[in-house]
Amino acid sequence: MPTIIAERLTKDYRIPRRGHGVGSYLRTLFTPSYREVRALDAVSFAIEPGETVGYIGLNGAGKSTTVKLLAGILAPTSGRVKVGGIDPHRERVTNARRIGLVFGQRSQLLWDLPVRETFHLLRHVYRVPPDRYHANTRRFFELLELDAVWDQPVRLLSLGQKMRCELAAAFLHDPSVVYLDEPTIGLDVLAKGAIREFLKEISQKTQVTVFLTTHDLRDIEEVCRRVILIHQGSLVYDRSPQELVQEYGQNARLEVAAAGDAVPTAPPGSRLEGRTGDRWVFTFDRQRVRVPELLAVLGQELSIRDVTVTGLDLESVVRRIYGGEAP
Amino acid sequence: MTYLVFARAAVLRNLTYRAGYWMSLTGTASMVAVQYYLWSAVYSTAGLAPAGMTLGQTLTYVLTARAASTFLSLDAGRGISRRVRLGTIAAELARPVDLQLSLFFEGLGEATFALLAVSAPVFAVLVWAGAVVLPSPGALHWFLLSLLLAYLVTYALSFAVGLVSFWTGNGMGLADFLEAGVFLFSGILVPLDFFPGPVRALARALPFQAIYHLPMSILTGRAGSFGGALAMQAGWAVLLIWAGRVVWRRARPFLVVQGG
Repeated sequence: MPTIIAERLTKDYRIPRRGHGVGSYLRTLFTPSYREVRALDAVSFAIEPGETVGYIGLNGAGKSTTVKLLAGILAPTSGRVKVGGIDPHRERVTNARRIGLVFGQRSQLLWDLPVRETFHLLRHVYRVPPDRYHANTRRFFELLELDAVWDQPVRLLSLGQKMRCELAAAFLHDPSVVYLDEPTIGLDVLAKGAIREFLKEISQKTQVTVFLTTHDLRDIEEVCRRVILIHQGSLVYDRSPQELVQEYGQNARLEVAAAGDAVPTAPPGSRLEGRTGDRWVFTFDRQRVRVPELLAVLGQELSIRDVTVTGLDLESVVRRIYGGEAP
Repeated sequence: MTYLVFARAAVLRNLTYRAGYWMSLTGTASMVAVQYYLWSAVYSTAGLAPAGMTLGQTLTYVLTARAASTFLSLDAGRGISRRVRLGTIAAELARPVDLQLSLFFEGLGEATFALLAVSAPVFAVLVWAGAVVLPSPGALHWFLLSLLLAYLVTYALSFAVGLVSFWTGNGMGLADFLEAGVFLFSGILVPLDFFPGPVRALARALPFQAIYHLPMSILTGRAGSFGGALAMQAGWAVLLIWAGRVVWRRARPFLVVQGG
């Protein structure tokens, strides 16, 4: 049975309608008017225990709304959510006991106090047995280098240090589902790397279900085995990252740096797009021709110094989908 | 008891900021001084005893009320509306705790700190200086119980009103409105008996009198019966806590987590 079931999940927000200027604001004090905005439109999916799912979409696509509905923080306007067999909004407290939650943009740590105080609080709130508490904190000390910040007040931590703490806090009570809403937002490469390593490690070693929203597709490529893509509140894709690339990633791009100014002929299956700097840019159809074949042909004409291939990664694929291109 | 960790965290937070503590102590002491000089001036006309209250009784009433106001704060409601306005309420709701209880214990931590570190020392100085006259030891017990009930009423009222921010997205205006009610009808600034009849009657029908007027009446020996005053307070406490739960259940579907 799936851990998470979303059936035609829909959420409307009511936005106050105001004009510009003080007069208009004064009028809305007495005669407010609103418009309904559909943030999420009949989104359905089912997630099995232990799956790692990347949930992607542009800003405002409905990602965070989905997380809040799944976590039981918000009530859906229509549709149904079941997590572990229960309605997370109706049975918020029971649900909260089983889940972990990380918001990249807002902290759950005790702002004024040393990091260990947050863990002391969570330990009691989630009633974590002493052996699990010690085993988990030992593991987090190792994987997330928490020992360095354990006695520091949260308000003095860097964003990267804080996010490592948030992550550890979300996994402290061995939750069966963890929602991560943009956990790598604003982080440097090292902190992002540490967080991905942690998620990979913990999702391989335990049965935890991970639901991750992000704008950094490397998070998805490294951590997730399934990707769900939403656009303007609707689900547009639900498959593995590899399948996504295969389906949409046909038109790849090859850049060749070569000495001399002689204009090369495009090999069969490719097209010469132009030149940027000292690089010749080709696009090619991956179904028809492979990179080594292209290079073999081009090598006869050019003395190649360097080669870059793009368009095989998730990012360019997603850009193509949002751009409205057909697969 | 799981929820005690929220009280503990609140006490630790208060102990973190030394400067904040001294400011709070100084602020309360200044307000006490203002009340002292104001009412001494009012009573400077010899033989004056409005509503049958002597200068000693009036000072005991207003100065103790002011000293107690540090821990009888309306912060629970302000806390909710701040959390809703900034969207941090989401993190709170992701925890397996009852929001009414966790906020209660957080507030209890704050209040305990304020009581022990600000209200009690200020009160002790007032008694030592002779500005506040203690009643008989018997009445003192009832006064302390009455303060506890006053705390419950304050908390429950503030919680229920704070939840309105679930609908409006911001409860600051309402918190100010509530504070105005406290200023006018609780006795924190002026003993309720000094108001004209209709205002007094209105005050008696409202819960605010349970916060300062009833405990201070017990302290100054002007409560008709201790039992009556305490029962009135307990009644308001129960009613408002229940109202808070009802509003909470109604409010939840309206929550919008602001700020993405």
